[in-house]
Amino acid sequence: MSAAAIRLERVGGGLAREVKTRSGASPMSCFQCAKCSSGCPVASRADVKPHELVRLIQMDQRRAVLGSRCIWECTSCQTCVTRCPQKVDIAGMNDALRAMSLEAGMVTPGTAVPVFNQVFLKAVRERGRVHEVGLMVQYKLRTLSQISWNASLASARQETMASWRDGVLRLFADAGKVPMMITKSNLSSLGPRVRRMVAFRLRTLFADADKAPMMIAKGKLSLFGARVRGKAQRKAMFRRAAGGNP
Amino acid sequence: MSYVFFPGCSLDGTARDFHRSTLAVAARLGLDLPELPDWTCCGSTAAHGSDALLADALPAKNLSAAAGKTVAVACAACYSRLKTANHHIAGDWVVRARVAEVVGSDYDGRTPVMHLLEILSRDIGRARIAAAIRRPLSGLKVACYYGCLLARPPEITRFDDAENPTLMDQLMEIAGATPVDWPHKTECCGASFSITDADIVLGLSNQILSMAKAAGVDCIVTACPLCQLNLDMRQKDIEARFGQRYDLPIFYFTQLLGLAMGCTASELSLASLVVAPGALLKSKGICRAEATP
Ligand code: SF4
Ligand code: SF4
Repeated sequence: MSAAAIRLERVGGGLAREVKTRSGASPMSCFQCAKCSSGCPVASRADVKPHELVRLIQMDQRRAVLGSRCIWECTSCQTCVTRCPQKVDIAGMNDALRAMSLEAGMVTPGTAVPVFNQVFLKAVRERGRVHEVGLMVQYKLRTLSQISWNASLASARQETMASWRDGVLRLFADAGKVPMMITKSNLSSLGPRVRRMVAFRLRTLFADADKAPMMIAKGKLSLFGARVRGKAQRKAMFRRAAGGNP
Repeated sequence: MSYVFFPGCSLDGTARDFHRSTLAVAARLGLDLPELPDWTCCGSTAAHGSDALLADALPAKNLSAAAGKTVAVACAACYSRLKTANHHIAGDWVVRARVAEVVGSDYDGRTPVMHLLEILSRDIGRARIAAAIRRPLSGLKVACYYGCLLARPPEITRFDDAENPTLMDQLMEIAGATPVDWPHKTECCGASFSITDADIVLGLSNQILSMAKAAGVDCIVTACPLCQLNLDMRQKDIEARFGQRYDLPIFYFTQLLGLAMGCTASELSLASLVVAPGALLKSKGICRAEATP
């Protein structure tokens, strides 16, 4: 009985309350019907399905929740909250969990979403609008700097670094052969976790390079973006927002 | 009613064809859509996925500049963000106060926000649109694809039935096309992962394309720049990945409506479509071959 009591003490504990304060979602209302997961477009690939995530929050499983991959793969499609008989706003809840995961330093390896969000918001702050070419360039540069950072973490061994640098240079020299080169590039000297991260970032770096000429021809890419007046005000706004979040 | 138009970043970039065709259709209908001066980005997924306060403040800044007019939106994602911010701000005085601190002025969350589809069906109305049709799209079978953000969540957008919206189907009918019943009207294309994780997008968009194909349509009609981009620009990749052949042109609803109203291919930027619609339009006698890409 005491064991059950100890566990029960954690039910509806700090995590559920924090999620509720930060997002307005009520994970404690969930009765586990799993309707959310049935309609969720990414549930089939998720490490934790939406109804399971809600359950973990009810049970105060902070590490499992904030370290999950699924919070970064949620497409914010709003299907779950639309269909939930208890109106649990899982989409809104995931927004809060992403912020909490970042703050706690528990972001799962292999997601590009935090970097993308940062680059995107920086563009909004600086220019007022997002210009897709500029965004892609910034995003790719950030991705690249993370690749080298991962590589330096990977090993202090000189030869690893050298083969690594070679790999990156070759990738740049011949972007058209990228997919083949990624599979063939010498990543085997790195540990499995780092290898996963590096392979992921390399894929990101070169994905869509092939689309640029077509997009320019179709008038979908312009080389220069607009700037909106009021940069100083915007910057102040971003500063106040950063200070004002719970 | 008078409107100010909030184009959003996509309509100045990858979705310029949506922008152009929107203005072309509006002109035919005598609908005045002046651009909201100095509008800024709504913050999109990046804001609501990382900073709750900013996600309400960026829309609030734009909406409070509308000076009592209705804000007209074409992009489904902007529409969702503007409506959600209104919902938060009007429904919770704490949020309203905190947003006011961030923006530097109070906003009550009550500027009306309407998607073009709503404006066309509710404000302009069937009769006026029908009167502008010059060249009905007879024989064109279309799948109307609404995506996630127009109809969901219904408490916030109040757009149409959340599971089976029909606003676009009705418009296509007025334009003389034949909208089909199909189950993927509001399934997700993977939208925001277009850049960060194409795998998600390829898989989800493949399901939408294959369902539309199975429904026997000639093309898909969209109302969202991200839906259109994922289904159109990535269609070749999807075909290669899943060993399928779809060949489905992906239009914006404004492009098809514009064609029915007699606009030219260039007024509607049909050349921007990656899956070229020329052969289809010619086979249906909708557009002369030399006028289409
Ligand atoms: S649909 Fe709602 S009640 Fe059902 S499992 Fe999901 S969150 Fe819980
Ligand atoms: S909002 Fe996220 S969790 Fe909810 S159904 Fe969509 S992808 Fe799944």
